[in-house]
Amino acid sequence: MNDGLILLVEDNPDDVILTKRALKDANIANEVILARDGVEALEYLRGEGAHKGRNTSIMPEVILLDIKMPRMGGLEFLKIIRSEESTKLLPVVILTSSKQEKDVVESYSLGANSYIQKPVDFDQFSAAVKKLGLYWLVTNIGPFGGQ
Amino acid sequence: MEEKAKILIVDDDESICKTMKLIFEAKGYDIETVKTGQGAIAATQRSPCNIAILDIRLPDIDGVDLLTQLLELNAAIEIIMITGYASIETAVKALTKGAAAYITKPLNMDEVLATVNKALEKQQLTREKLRAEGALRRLTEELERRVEKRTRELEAANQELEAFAYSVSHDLRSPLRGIAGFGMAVLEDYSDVLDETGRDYLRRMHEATVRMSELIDDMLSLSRVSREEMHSKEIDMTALARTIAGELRSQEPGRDVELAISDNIVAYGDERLMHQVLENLLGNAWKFTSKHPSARIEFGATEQEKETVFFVRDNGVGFDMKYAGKLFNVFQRLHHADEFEGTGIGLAIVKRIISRHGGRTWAEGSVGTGATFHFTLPTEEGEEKT
Repeated sequence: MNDGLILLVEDNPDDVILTKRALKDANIANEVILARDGVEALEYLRGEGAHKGRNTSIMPEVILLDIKMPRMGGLEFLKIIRSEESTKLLPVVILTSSKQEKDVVESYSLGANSYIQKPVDFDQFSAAVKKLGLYWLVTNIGPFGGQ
Repeated sequence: MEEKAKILIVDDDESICKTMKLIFEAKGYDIETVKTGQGAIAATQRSPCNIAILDIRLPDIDGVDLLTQLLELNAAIEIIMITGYASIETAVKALTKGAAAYITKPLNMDEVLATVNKALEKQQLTREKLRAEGALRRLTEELERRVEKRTRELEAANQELEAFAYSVSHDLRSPLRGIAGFGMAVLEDYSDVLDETGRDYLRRMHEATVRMSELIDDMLSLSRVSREEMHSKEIDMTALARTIAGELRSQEPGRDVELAISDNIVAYGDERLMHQVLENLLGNAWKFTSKHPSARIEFGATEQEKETVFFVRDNGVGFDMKYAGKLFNVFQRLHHADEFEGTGIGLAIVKRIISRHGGRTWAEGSVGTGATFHFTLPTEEGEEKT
């Protein structure tokens, strides 16, 4: 369980701290890689920019993806990774403030695996992250056969 | 009239032509005389007259035929037929074919002049009528253009509101989550360095964020009510009320509430919005009777000609009529949060929905005995959309 990587794509530093705290609360000690927008997330996956030289055969177990971010938002990022061989199977969980129907529909049509709304109440948020973590890192068998 | 009226005299009788010409020119009219139908047609093609005086018996053409041909050339010409007693039938026929009048020989020049004046008046009136119709048409077009413009402006404003509401929803929730989250984090991770007062402050802070979240949600609900399109149709209100009552019962199965919902209540309106209205009113009745051992909620309606008057009555805590004016205001409450929960948006939503349908809302109550909430909806015949 502790082997899989989590790629957290989130620009809000408060939400990053709270998400990491929730994961810790749920005893999910997996390494969390942080990208602050779609561009940084792509650089990580492709082994470019700040992540130049990393072993790109190692892919995250799950990507927690926010929608509204500067430079490149979540949906644009999702569209790109779904169009590339090496990344199109990666499990993506949309984790966002919005509950708007249009965002939900667009996310699924672009190939998101799951959509969670970030609740204001921290207990609920924490519980949601815990469930997420347990499901995607433990229960689910990923496309790369589990690492 | 600025221009002199032009009269065309068509008669093969030389003396009639001369007499008329003299008399009409003395009155200030412009005169042309011809002796044949062909001449009349040629003269009209050259420069149409206001009035044409035709002898019914012309050498080359039937008077009524000539009448028809002249009117085809210029429909505005008023035509007066001259006839002898023997051909009055023909003259009457001419009237049906479009002649303005006929005068009989021997000619009485006073009668001729009077008839010509009348014909000129008629022409003037017709001209003014056409002008007025033209003006009306232009005004209507202008109005339609303005309505289109206003509709476009309204649609743009609505879209702005939609974007604003989305922004409120998304952007305000983010920092709110930070406040709630870190407050809880301090409470959980540092509770050992806090005294009870400190922990209490943090708990209250957390409650406040929960409340703020509810307020944001309610504000969005209210704005959605104004924005969304209405699709009106006949609604079975009895069935709707019974469904909502069923939901209330299943949420609190322990409660024993008497529900008196009249049969066959119908309304003309948007089903989704009316669902919200009944949900709010019945929900309120349910909530405010929670302290009553034998709670009773009634829903009924009286149909009148142009509108139906509905009511939801309960025997709960009621309210002081002194404050009745505040009931339907946004976020306004008449009870304390520790007595009954709620943000005070429900009645504001009800009022806005009913207003959109063109109806009215009002309430009566007394402390300790209960409350009755009334609303009207126009019937399909008496419908006025806002």
